[in-house]
Amino acid sequence: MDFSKCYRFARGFSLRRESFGGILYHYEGKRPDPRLYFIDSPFLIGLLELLEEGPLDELIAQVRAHFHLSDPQVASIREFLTTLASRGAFVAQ
Amino acid sequence: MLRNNAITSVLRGAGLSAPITVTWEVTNRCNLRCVHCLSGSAPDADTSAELGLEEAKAVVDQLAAARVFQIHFGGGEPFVYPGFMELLRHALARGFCCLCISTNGALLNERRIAELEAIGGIYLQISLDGATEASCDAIRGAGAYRRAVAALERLRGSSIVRTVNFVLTRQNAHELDDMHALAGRCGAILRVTRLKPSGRGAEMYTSMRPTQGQLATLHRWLTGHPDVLTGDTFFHLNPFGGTALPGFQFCGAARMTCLITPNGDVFPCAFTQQEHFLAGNLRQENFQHIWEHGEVFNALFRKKEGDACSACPAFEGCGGGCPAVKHALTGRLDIPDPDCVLETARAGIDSAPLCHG
Ligand code: SF4
Ligand code: SF4
Repeated sequence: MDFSKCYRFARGFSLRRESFGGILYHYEGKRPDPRLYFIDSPFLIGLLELLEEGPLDELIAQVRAHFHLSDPQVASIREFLTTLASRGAFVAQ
Repeated sequence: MLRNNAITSVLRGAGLSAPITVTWEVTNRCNLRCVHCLSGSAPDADTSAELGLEEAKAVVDQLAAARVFQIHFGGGEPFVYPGFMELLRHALARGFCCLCISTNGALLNERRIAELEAIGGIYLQISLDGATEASCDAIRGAGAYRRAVAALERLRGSSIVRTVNFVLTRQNAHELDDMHALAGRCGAILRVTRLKPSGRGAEMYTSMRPTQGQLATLHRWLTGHPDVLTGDTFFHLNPFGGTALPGFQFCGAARMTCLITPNGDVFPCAFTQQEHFLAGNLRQENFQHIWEHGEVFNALFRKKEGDACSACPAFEGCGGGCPAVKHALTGRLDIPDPDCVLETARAGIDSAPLCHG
């Protein structure tokens, strides 16, 4: 995944805020059940909500500064985004 | 990404900010008259109070505004609802990417299948309650089996996602393997669901309710068939032991899902359509308002405690079972599921007692 690019969610993905964080819904269209990601990290939800606002690296830097994130936290965000990308979540703008 | 305590507590307690899925029975009219129909639908059902197409589109807009993820259309037979295809197109245009439709398949001709394929995002659940014409039609009426299988044949080669929906009863419980094979032959995934005492199912429940022996067999069978879906309707069988069945282990009514009836009434789920459980009506109130403030939702369904089940070691895995079944059979919600595995084993009987007075 190229973190220097700006992305939007692919069709079939939908994000919703919840009191614990949020849910990312994914209906792939090839099998009946949707996949639900229950996300309890406010910074990850914040980042996904901003997705279309700029290149991922810049968004991660903003979220990192805002939430005072540690290196391991940033690493886990990047890992999660990479997993989502491998499941077709993002379309480069 | 995670299922931590905060998430579990919302899912099992106060519920989500909006449903994941809304079940919407668009009509009670149906070309069939199945003996166990959960909504008591029939060819001559009164449609005078149904939401009209424009009202229905406005409901779709409200569901989209509430950020509901998907709609599950049922009935009756949804394809007899005037303007149903237009309603589907409207929902897709409002951003819904999965529209599930429960159908008996009779009206799925080549032209309609092509239209559905062109719309995209359609997931069909085709009902078949037996692996043979005789066993299926005994429940769904003469010709139902042939028409459903013919629809599945016509769907062969299409990209539309489909399941064969099978309601397990005392009479057809021995056909699981055959149903699995039949669904596979038709390019569909098998979805087995629990019979509930709702609609005409209430009248037939005593004679059609599976025995505990059949439920034990089903539990073992499901454990060995992870490809089979259950719509999370058999979590009450988890106390049989072994690995928990996949999916949620508790009732999602008013927490993750709810029901809209043909006239716009909102209930906790499709099997709780009684005045006692009415949360509101969409001709009078907005969907989001009903979801958040529906007294029935908050007072009866959004609580973590298990009442009589609280002290049970199996509660985490079974959530106390299905409130709809409890209430229909006993008038109470604070007791174990009438098919509770532990209660019935303790009592040494085939089904748990229906009175916990
Ligand atoms: S007593 Fe309640 S929690 Fe325990 S197994 Fe029975 S229904 Fe489930
Ligand atoms: S009340 Fe029963 S049928 Fe309805 S959602 Fe809950 S478990 Fe399912």
